[in-house]
Amino acid sequence: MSASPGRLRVLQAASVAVFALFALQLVRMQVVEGARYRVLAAQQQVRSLPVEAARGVITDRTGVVLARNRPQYAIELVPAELPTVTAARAVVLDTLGRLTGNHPASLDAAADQGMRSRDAFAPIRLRSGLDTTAAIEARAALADMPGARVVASPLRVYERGSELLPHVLGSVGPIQPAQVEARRAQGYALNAVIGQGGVEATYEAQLRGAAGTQQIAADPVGRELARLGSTPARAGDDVVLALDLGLQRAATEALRDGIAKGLPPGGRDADGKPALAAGAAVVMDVRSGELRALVSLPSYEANIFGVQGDPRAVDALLADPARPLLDRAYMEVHSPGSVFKPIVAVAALQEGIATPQTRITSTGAISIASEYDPTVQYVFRDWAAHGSLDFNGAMARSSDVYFYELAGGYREFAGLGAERVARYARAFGLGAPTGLDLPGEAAGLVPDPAWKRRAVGDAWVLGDTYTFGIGQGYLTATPLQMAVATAAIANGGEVLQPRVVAVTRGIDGANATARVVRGRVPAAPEHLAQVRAAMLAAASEGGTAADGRPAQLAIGAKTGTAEFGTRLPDGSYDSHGWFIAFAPYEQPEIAVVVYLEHGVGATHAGPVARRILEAYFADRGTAARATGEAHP
Amino acid sequence: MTALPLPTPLRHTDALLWLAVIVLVPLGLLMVSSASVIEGAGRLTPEVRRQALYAGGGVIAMLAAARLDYRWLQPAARVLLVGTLALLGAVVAIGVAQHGAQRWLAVGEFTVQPSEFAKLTLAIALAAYAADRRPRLVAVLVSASILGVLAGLVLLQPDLGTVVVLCGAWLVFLVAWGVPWTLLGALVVSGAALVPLALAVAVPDYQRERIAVFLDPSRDPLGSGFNLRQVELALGSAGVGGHGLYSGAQSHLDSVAARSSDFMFGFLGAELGLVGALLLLLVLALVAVRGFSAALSAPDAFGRLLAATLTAVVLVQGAVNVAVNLRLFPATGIPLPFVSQGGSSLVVMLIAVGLLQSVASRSRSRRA
Repeated sequence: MSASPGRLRVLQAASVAVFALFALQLVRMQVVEGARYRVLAAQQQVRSLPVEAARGVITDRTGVVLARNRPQYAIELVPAELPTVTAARAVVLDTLGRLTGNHPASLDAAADQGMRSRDAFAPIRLRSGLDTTAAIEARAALADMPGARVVASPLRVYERGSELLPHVLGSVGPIQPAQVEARRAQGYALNAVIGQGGVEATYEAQLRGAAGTQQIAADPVGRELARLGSTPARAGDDVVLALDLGLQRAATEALRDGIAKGLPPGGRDADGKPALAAGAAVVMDVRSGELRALVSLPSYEANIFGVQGDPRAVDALLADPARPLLDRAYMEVHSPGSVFKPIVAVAALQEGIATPQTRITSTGAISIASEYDPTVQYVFRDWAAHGSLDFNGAMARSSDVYFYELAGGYREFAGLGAERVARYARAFGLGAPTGLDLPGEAAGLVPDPAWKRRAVGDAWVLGDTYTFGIGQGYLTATPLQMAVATAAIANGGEVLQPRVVAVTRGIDGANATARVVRGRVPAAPEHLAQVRAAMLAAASEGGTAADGRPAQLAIGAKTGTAEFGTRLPDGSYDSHGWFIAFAPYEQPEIAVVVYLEHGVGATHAGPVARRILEAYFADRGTAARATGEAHP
Repeated sequence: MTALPLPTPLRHTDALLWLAVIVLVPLGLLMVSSASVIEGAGRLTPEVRRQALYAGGGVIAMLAAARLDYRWLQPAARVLLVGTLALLGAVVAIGVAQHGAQRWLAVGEFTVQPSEFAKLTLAIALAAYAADRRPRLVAVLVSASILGVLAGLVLLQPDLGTVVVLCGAWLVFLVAWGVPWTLLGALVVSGAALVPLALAVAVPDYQRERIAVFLDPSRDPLGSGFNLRQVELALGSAGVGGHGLYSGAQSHLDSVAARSSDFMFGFLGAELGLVGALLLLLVLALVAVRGFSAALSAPDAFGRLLAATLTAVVLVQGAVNVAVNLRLFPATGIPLPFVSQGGSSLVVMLIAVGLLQSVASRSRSRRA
């Protein structure tokens, strides 16, 4: 007989015993140790870690990559995750110290400080710039060491163009102390890297993308228990510059030669100091406002900035009297000199002060009596005795007397007056930032009598109007502003907002930057056409700007030689060399502006412009194909 | 025992066993609802509707099994065994894979888990074989081979939770059969020695890894190990009164896996506290005690062994789920009987109770 009743009673008793044991364990967990579990449960935390998005790539308009991300890694210390047991903590800190070249005691102090900070889980970066091999070794050494970790931290590298357009590219770097609060509000991690200067700064929002998050369940010690879920990071948009790296290079080389040729004899200025070998060049599409080249010399190497930069090179840059960090195309203002004359010419035609037939004779100077003491005569010299010139001839020869009289009048000839000159200057965009999509733009100054009374404390005199009329005196402008004004003459009066970025391209597709018309010059089309014709004459045989014209191409141009500084023994001054041009004459595409810190417009700046124009038009076929000729 | 005023077919059945079911099945539906509810949505979740359908079918099957004369099962045991083996083979061959294992057969909209029914088949087959035999070594080895073929096919799916239940139920069956304690001891020792050998020789690498993770959750610290820890925290911090029904969505169990059937006892203990968990332990103990009572009162050896083995199936399954959640046993994927979500498991448990009632109602004492 099987299955004895005794055995079944044993099983019955055993099952009761098992469940009684369970009941005991349940009481132990829920009652005896309940308080401890409640503390643990309250401390259990779900943390959200940011997952950084890949920063967008920057290319030129033809797709040449200028800025990209190189994979690399960093070693970080997370204060709150360090073991609290002394021995275990020492092991972690010793290993970290060995890997990062820090003293364990200093790491301990840093961790202590981190524990007292607002977020004890905020990682402290100990060493960055590890390549993949070093990162693997560090990961192996730090495996199972709480509080130490190796994280991906891509490095921003500037490839081609790093010396050709560092001002435009800018750099990336840690958040500056002053920016911390604002950036935190925008969702940046404290150790985030953000754009500092250039396109990296202006297009930070697009380049940055959106950081994702990783939900981490952590025990009360802070150890990661589980990855609960994540929202993926959205990669940053790529930024396509309007600039053409090939043209930028050609313009840079031409400008460098022009600067060298324009330096005063002996390389010293009127004060005997070394002359600044500096200059700028701007190429702007007169139809769209896109900049095709934006050159400033002296330049620097973009990669010296940033997380893995070269601090000593940065210090040297900051100490350099030539101030290479300054972009001379739009951050610094100068007297424009005679390149301002086309603006005065437009004003004179529109206001009925002059017609194309207006003839004025230059005997080499005009003189006027002082308004305070009629026995004192002020002489306003022309750079040459041109004789009798009509409108086009005056522009072609750059007669100063002609423009003194257009601006200020002379004897029975009524001039525009300072107010009207100032109004037209402002209408062409001078005296205010152009709205360029780069930070740090200078505004320049358009003076008028009210301004002089307020700022200088003196009354405006006729002489001020004369010097204003030839673009000297108080008037200052950036090369970029002159490019915008030149473009307005060329395109029929539209004052366009210049921009270095053509397109931002993300997962949602490409977004072309907007063509913005900031204003219209209040001048009839025929008057603008007349000024273009005068500038064509200036760039033709016998004109002062003829040296800027490439063979086989009709252009409109104007030279400028703006005196500044101390008078030299021979009565002359150091001068800035300017050249503005638009081309082709019939259907203008681009405006070119060349500025030399030292030089003469016709002889030094002109040839620079010619080489830029040659480079642009030699390359125009490919450039047009690359952009699909978006702007008719 | 006094006879209840039940309809004739159910007269002489065990009232306390019915009571256990009346407590457990609604409690299970409540817990499935609480575990599957999503914040902001209704409590009649798709999961609980489905579970209620299975519960309805299971109750009908239970009542049918209670009316059935269990003695018909003895001659049918061979057919049942062959049929179950065929179904298990079909699962391996054409089954539906879910969660990395192939355990289900699709039947229209529903899926059936034949390994659950293997538990019933094992009890019936062991009882049928042992009823007329003395527990000698050869007979014990034959019973072991019945276990072996069933458990082996289940292992191929792989469904180790069910294998653990089958082996546990077999050991209880051996005790009830009257196998000498010395032989039992030798079997347990040699079995423990054989398991690693069998794993090394007969199981392919990928499955061994699954088994290893299965047996040692620390190999998968971010999976079941994490959930176990979450459940422990929730259970321990629940206290006497518990966090409250439907508190899971706001509490630490806001992770879908932690609400799975494997952690049902912990979930119940977290929501209903010590009171609810003790009640559940009491009711499960009641099922075990009354199940073995049915065996004690059975009119024949087949009934006695059938009732004991069926009770063992419920007992082992319940005990393992509870033990895992109380951190007394390594994490093992076994649902809490009657309570955890899972249609086939619920139906099989209810049929087991029905068969226990069938045995109980034919006891000599009640038919006096």
